[in-house]
Amino acid sequence: MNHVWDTLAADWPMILSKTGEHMYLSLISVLIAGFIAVPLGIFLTSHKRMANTIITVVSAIQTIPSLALFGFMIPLVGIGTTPAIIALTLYAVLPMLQNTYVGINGVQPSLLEAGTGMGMTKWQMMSMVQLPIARSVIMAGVRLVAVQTISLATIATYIAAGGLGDIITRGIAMINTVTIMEGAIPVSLLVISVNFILLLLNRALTPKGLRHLNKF
Amino acid sequence: MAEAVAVEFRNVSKDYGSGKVLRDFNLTVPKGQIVTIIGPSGCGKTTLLKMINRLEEPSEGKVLVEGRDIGSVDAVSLRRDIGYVIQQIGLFPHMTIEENIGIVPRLKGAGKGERREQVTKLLQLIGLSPEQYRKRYPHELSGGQQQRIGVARALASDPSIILMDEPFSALDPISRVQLQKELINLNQRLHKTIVFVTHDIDEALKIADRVILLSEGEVVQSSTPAELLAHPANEFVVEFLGPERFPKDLAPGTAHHIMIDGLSIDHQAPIEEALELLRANSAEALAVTGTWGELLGIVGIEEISQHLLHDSTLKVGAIVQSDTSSLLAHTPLSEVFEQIRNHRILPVVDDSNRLIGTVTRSSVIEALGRHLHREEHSA
Repeated sequence: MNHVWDTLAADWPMILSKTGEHMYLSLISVLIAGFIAVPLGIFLTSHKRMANTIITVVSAIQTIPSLALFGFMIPLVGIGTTPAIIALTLYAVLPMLQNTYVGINGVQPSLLEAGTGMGMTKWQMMSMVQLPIARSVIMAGVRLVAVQTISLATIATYIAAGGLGDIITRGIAMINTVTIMEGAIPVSLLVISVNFILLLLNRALTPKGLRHLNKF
Repeated sequence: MAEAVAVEFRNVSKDYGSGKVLRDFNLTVPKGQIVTIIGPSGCGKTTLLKMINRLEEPSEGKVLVEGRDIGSVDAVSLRRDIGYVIQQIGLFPHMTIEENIGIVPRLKGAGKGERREQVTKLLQLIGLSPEQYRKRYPHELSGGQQQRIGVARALASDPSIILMDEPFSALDPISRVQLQKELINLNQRLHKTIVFVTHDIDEALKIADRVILLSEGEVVQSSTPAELLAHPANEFVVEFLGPERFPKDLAPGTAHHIMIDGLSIDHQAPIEEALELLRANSAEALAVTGTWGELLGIVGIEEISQHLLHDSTLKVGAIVQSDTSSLLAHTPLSEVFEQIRNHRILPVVDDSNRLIGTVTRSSVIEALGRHLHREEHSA
């Protein structure tokens, strides 16, 4: 047991800095993906013919095995943080895009008719009606993506992007369970806490009039 | 000019590609009246309505609103000046009642204080307490209350024209009757031009100052309800309205003939609402219905007032008196007179115990009055 505590005490600063790198990788990727996916999803709801094509293309990216996608990045952008963020972002776009599209399309047509009939412009309809009503569906997509990205970011170590994956692979190389745990447990804790925080955030952001519909 | 014109259709055609819905159509809608548009489905009545606020554009011809050709007016600002009520109500679920009602003023740039004042006025107008309802959300209201808010929302920016597309047809029969009454009362005060599309002939005849009957994109008859019944333009009018509406003389011999509607309430409604309904009708008691319109019993004004002191959120169902007598539609009048002496209200039910109307002392007196009146005239 002492051996565990000693290792932990010695590795503590490293665990912290790797957790920091891991969070940075994940957060930046989710943010970039969000800035791409949500506006794109909004755009597609008024360009339905394009929607199918684009969602199919984005889904196709999702089918590439993650390890391979990180590998493909090397000849294109080399190794390090940038290719890792690009790969993570590519994975993160689809769920958010899909949820934005589905959420906005799911707004009852009668509300759109009422809004148009009262003289809302398209932009007002989006900001006053469609987005607020679709918000919890979009947020569910964000949550899914956040969890997925944090897990996936462990592989970024293979292209030298750092993160908690570094500790895990080192543990595997040394066949040292304690070291593997030092990388794995923080990943799990990150996933759990981020999921929880986003859940609370969504609850707080949901307008009172829609809370009774929330099953989460 | 004998009558001011609110809306005018000039040689309007509408072509959906699959065929013409309207062909060289002309119509004027007078100002300040409730005009109902009826006709078989597919006759173009909803299309007609939606042309007034440019949700539909005519393929040919012009639509004039208060003298202006709306083809040359910005559609968005036109719509903000015309009230619009739809069948599915369309209240925004994420907004409070206050925000819902205030939406058009907000679109037009009215400030918060001004909107608040306007909402207070409108809630009072439709008989809902502003303090109580302002901050509630649509899902906390019954269907009838929701559509009242829908009407209030359409009135919010004080438009002179209001379009209503089958606004009451998704409501339960009791709320429907209640809202029809309220609309008539409301417009006696407000004098808006209300263009009201419906497929419910009773409704059309009941609320209208003028009925426009359409068929295959043409006006068959445009007249007051009384005229329509007294002088139907042709056989189609009689067929469409139903020959039974052109009565010979019905012998008023059973409960069915003297019963009235409106004096009933759903068991889920709060007792306050029951009290409002009683006051509005100056009645003493109401029939209470269950989820499927079945009769559960009655509530009287004393019980309601008693309970209201303790708990204003109580549901009508909690204080219903189920040991009450009821009548069938074919109960003879002699028996009705016998029974009404001991009851404040007598619900009339059909064979499966569903409420179809009520008899009260005042409805009996009214029926007697009508009867005597008829006797005098035929004598």
